Amino acid sequence: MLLQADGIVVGYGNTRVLKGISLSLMEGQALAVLGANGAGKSTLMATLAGLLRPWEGRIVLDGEDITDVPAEERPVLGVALAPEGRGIFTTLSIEENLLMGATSLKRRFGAADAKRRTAETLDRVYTMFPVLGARRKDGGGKLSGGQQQMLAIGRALAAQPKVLLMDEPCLGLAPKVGNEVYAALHELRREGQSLVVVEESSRRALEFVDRACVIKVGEKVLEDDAAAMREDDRLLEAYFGIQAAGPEA
Amino acid sequence: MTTFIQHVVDALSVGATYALLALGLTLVFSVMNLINFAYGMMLVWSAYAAYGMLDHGVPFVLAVPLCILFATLLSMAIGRIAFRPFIGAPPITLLITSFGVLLVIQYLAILCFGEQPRILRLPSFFSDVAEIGSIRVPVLELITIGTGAAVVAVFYLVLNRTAFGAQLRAAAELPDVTRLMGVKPDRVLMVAFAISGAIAGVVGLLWFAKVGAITPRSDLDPTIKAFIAIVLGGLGSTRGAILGGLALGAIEVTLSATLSGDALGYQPAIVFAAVIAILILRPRGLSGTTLEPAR
Repeated sequence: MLLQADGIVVGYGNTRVLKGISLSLMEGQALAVLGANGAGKSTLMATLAGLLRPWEGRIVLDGEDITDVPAEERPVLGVALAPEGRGIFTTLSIEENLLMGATSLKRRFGAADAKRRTAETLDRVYTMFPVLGARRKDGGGKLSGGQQQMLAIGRALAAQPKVLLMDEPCLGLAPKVGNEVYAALHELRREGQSLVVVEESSRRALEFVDRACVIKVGEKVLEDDAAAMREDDRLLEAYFGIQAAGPEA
Repeated sequence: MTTFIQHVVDALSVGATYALLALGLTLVFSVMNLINFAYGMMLVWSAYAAYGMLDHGVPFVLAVPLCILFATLLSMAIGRIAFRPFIGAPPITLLITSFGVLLVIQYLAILCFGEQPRILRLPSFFSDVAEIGSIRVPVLELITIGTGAAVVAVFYLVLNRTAFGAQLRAAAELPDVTRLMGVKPDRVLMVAFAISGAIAGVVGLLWFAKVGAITPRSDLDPTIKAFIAIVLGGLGSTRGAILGGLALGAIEVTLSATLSGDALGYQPAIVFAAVIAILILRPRGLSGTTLEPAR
C-alpha cells in the first residue's frame, strides 16, 4: 500500500468537516474522490498534504506513519499537492514557480543529485506543456486559467512525487481547456504516476482512474472500481440522494 | 539654481535613509504581518556596537562590516527567540511581542551604556563638505545616497536572483502553498530577519553619523519615520517602501526649505498632514499595490 488514510476526523475551529474518512491507494494506481461542493474534498486534500493536522485517525505513506509530519516535510517524503485554486505565485516567473516545486529535491536526494533531477524535471514539464516552456520568463500572474492549472500540475510534478494530489484540476476552466489538462493527466497515468484527484463532476475523472469514492458531508458513502462505478446508478444516488433509476428522476 | 540643487541632494539623502529604514521594516512585515516596533532599537544597538568598536581602536574599515554583521545576528536572534514561536499568530499578538522586545533591548542598552549620550567617533571626512563648482554638499549626504543606492541594488539582486529571494517572495504571497513546496516557514522568517537586520546595521550607522549622539531612547524617531514611509508607500511592498521613503524625505526637505521662522516649529505636524492628505487620495499608498494581493 502506497498511501493510506484511516478514520480521518478533522475540521476548522469547532466544526467537524471530515467525520472519519478512510481511503487507500496502491502503487501506480489512480483514485478519484468525488463529491458535491462542500462535501469536504479540499479539506481531505489539505489533510493528506499536511496543511491540516487530523483530530483523529492516521495517515501512512509507504508503511511510515506521517500523520504528524508538517506540510513542509511531506514533499521530501514524496507527497505533492496541486492545491485548490491553483496557488500560482504571481510575483514569480513560470520557471521560478517550477523551481519552487523542486525545492524539496535537495533534501530528498542530496545537492548533486537534486541539480540533475531539477534540470530533468523542468525538461519534462516543458515537454508536457510546451506553452510553459515558451513563456518561462513570464510572470505567473500573466497566464490564463488553463495555463495556470498546467503550471500548478507541473509544479507539483517538479517534486517528483510518489503520490500526486490534485484538487479540482478543471475548476473554472472552459471544457476544451479542461480536456487539454486531462490529456496531460492521461499521459501521467501511462507513465505509472500514482495519484489522487478530487473532482466535482465525475464523468471525466472516472474514465482515467482505477478506483473512485464518493464523499458526502464528510463521510464516504461509496467506493468501487471506476469501471463499475461508471455503470452504476448508485453513483447518482450517492451524489444527489435520489433514486436515479426511479420513474420520476 | 544652486540652492535648488542643494535641496534636491538634501532630499535624496534624507529620502535614502528613510527608504532603507522602510525596506528593512516592510520585509519582515511582508512575510509575517509583523510591524516590528523594536526596529528603531536595532539601529540604536548597531550604533552602540560601532561606538564600542571605534572607541576601542578597531579601524573604521573593519568596524563597519562587523557592525553590520552584529546587527544581522541580533536581528536573527530576536526573530528566533521572540517571533518564531508566533508564526501564524494574529497580528495583535505580534505587535505586543514587538513592544516586549523593544522594552527588553532598550533596558539592556540602558544597563550597558547608561542614559548619557555617546558620541560616535567617525573618521574626519564624514564631516567634510564637498565643493562641486558652486555647490557645497556635505560628504555624509553623498555617502548616504551612494550607500542607499548600493543597498537597494544588492537587495533586489538577492530578492530576484537567488533561491532565498524567490522563497521570500513566494512566502509573502502564499505562505501555505510555499510550505507545500517544502519550504520551511521558520527558515523564510530567519532569512527575512537576517536581511532586515543587515539593512538596520547600515542605516543605523548612517542615521547616527548624522545625528551624532546615541542614547538608549533614540529609537522612536527612526521607527516612526520607517512606519510613515511604509504606510505612505503601500504596506508590504518593497517598491512602495522605497517610494514612500524618498517621498517622505522630499516632503520634509521641501517644508524645511520653504517654511519661515515660526512655522518651522510645526514642520513635523505639517509632514503628518501632508502624509494623511496623500493617503486620503491614495488609500493603498503611493505604489497602489502590495506584495500580497488583496483577498
